[in-house]
Amino acid sequence: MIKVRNLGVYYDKFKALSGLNLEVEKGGIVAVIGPSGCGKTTLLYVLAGIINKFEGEVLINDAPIDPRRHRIGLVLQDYGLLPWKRVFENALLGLKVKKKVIEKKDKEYAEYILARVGLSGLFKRYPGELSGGQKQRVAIARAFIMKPDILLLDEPFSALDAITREEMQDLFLDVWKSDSVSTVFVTHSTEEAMYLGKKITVMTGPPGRIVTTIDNPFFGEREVKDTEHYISMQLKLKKLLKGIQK
Amino acid sequence: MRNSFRYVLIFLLIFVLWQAGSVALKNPILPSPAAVFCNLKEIFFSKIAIHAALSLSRIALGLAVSVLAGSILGLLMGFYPPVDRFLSPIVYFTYPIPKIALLPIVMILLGLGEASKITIIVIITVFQIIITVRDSVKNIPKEMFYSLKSLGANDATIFKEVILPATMPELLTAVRLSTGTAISVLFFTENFGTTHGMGYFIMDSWMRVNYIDMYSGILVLGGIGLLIFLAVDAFDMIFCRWKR
Repeated sequence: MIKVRNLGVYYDKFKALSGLNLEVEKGGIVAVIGPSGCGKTTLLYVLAGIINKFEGEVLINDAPIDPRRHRIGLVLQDYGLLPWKRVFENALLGLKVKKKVIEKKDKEYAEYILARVGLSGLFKRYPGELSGGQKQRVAIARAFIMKPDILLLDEPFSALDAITREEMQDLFLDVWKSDSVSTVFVTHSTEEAMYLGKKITVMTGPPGRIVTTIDNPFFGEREVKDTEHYISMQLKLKKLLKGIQK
Repeated sequence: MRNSFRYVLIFLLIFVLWQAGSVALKNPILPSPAAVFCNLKEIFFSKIAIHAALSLSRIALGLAVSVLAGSILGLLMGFYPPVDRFLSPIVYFTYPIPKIALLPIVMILLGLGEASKITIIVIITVFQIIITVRDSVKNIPKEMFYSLKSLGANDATIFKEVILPATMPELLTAVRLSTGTAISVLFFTENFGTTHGMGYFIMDSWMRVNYIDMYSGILVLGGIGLLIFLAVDAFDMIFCRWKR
């Protein structure tokens, strides 16, 4: 469970986030959308423990966030892989940093997840020898392999082509459903938010704050049945985003 | 295999040019490569090997100390801004001083033996290493650290998993550049207070107007450089495979 209360972040004098409140229930998945520069990524970096100077309160499972204590799965837009490590070593990085000793069953689990995201046979490749989609698969596998307390994704699919993106969204959801971690998913696409978010949070800024959070009945629906309702909800989201930009 | 063939071919080309120059000049100051090779075959083990071994060990030791000290300082300066703020003025001030001019002082302090020669190599080459390593640490994109930070990694882990491998390719470039400098510096220092080393051998042959010996020595010195470069390349193949 993630609880953010009255969060404020400053870059020097620039107010990036101010009075931000957010709650992700256990096993929940919140898609955060908002225009560029509204502080979505800053919010994610706070949750990831990368930015540790902030005002307010950030709790993970009722304890103040501490990356040494919590297991935080992070998937970044630029994949965040280490180019000098092979696929398998990259995938095990989280476990290696967290507990030093990697047992046989950890390796087997890693192999299982990597196979599940379609990377069998590529374990010995370096990231430089993979396509963008394959790198993103490694990053997602790595996050799940460490069995995280929370999962954070920063526009993970926006650098991929349309077909690969849909594939990766399905794949992500498939793995996520079998291991429902409290997740914050940052995106700038309303379609992606409506497919991957149980709740959708609309942000504005700077300084970044939350405009509204709505329940999303279309979570995980690729073929939408109630098209009318879907379109009206999408229009509502787009209007909210446009209204912010004005 | 193809690689060694390439080397043989290029050396052949050099020797053909050398032969042509020697024939054109018709002067003992540029003997033919054949004469030099015959001489080298005869005197290498009896006369040159001891000089070559000593010079190689001085260069290797000097470079090793330089790389070790320079990397440690460079890494600390690159990663911890306060260390950089304190040390960079010292580096900037001392780097441009021609340290070869300190040879007499170093020789008085450390004697005429190995220590003074190695020290001179170290104080001349260490700056290239420090500055290269420091800058390459600073140039690592900060996003590279994010995954590890979110895992709660401590500084030691970040050094091991990110900083060392990220700076390795540039460190090896600095070592290659320093190798050339180290050989030149050693050549100079071996002309003072010693009767061993390739620098001594070459200058002594020159004084004795034995040009064939002199060229033999120069060839061996080139060979020493080649050996070090090949060693660095081998290191590169092993530790920077991900770059290819």
